[in-house]
Amino acid sequence: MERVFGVGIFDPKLGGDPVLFQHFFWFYSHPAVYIMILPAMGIVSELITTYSKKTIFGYTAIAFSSIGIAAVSFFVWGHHMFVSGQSELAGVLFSFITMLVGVPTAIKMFNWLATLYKGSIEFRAPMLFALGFLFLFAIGGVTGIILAVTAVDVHFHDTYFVVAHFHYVMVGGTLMAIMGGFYHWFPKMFGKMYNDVTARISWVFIFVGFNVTFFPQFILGAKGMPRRYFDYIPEYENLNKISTIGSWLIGIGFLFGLYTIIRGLTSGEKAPPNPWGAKTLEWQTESPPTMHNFDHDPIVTAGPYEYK
Amino acid sequence: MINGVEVASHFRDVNHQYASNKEGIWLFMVTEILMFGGLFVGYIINHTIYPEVFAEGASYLDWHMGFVNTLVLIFSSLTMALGIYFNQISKPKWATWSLAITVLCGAIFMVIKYFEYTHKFHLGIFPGRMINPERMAEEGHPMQHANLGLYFGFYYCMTGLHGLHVLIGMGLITWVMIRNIRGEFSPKYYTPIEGIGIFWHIVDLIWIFLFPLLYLVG
Repeated sequence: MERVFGVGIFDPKLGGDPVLFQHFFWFYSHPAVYIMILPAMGIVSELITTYSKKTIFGYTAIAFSSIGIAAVSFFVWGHHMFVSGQSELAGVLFSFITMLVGVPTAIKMFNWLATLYKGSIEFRAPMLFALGFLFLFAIGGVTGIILAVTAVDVHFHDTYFVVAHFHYVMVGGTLMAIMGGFYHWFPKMFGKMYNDVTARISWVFIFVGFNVTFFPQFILGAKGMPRRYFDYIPEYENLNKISTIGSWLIGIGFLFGLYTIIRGLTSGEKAPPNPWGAKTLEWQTESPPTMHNFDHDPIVTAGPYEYK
Repeated sequence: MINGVEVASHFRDVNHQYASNKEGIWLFMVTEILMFGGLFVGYIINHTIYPEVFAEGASYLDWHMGFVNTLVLIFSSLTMALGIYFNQISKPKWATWSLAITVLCGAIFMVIKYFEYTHKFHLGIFPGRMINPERMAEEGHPMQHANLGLYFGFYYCMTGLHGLHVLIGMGLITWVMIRNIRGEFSPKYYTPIEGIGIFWHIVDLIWIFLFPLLYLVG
């Protein structure tokens, strides 16, 4: 509307305000990334309990911290706009509220670690993806706190540091959890087993490739390389090349993943009802579930995470 | 099939299905209000900064037309509700007539809106940058504030988006009206009319906010 009809709401010539567009955009777009990470966190909670055969540690705290993250998510949009000319007070408030996000997030991280403690950990592919999530999301989260500091953000704003941070939370966080969840529920969804060895090879390439691709981008950003430019000065060349090689590794990893999935779908063995020895209800019925999920009402004798 | 009504396998019974369908429509309405909400917030901010521009802009609108349209839409909400009521008491023919009157009211609204728009185009009043001050001066309405286009940016966006909703609503009501003539509804099953009714009432409600904000300010 603004471009085609020249409506003028964001056009300073007519008294409109382009910063208003930024406010609108980030008021939506910041909660939107939390919409992506919260279900991923739910998946990770399932994976970690199942493959360490341990009761989930602090279930209530995990649940309430999800609500906490969701609630705070609506009040942090200004941290994208520290250099937009918003008032200093707004900057300070948004910086403070943004750091608050770290509290519920850290509660979750420590609960997951405590769940793993003294568990019987099985390094199946879904568990590897869940552990990858913990490692990469921790880096993504901590660099988020760094970016929330207004003084530091003036330097890092619109650099590759932000690109790396975003990929560590969205790919290292959400995508890792989605891949783990996909392998975890693959037998339940399709009634067939996949080859865990090729899935693990896929994880190794993705995990290593991801770090090779995006860790150098933190350094590039800290050195001042701006994002959204196709070219860079010679000083940045080596790190950019390392990053490119890393992206090939990720590509190889996903090809292994694709192979695993196609092989599983075409010639996977028939999946038993509960291949992982999980306690939650979906594993107490056939794979894939019958019409209406259960032939008879299941009798629940223990909680969903009561392993020992 | 329960009591002659098709019930999808994931619902317990007819009431469960009916309640879930209605909840879905309400969720959709929340997103509609969020969408219009962005425009309302933009309106509030700019009206606070430039109250005089909004007053000048509103002086180009004929409140009589807006008022008639308000009455037409409120009346159409009544006939929409009657369309559901007559199905509940097994008078499908009356329901069909109610729905037909509702569509007619929507059409009257759009015709009045058409005359308002074309009149403004004639005066050279377009949204934002496209406003034509020379033409306005020729027509005897010289522009008072340089950024009058901002007000009309809001005017065309808000009424345009609302008008689009009215058109879509008219199409949907026509669709349930045809289904009603075919005898697909009964006191036990009239969910589509109910859902479209909720949509129509929300569209009506948004106009009730747009009318004073655009026509009566200043």
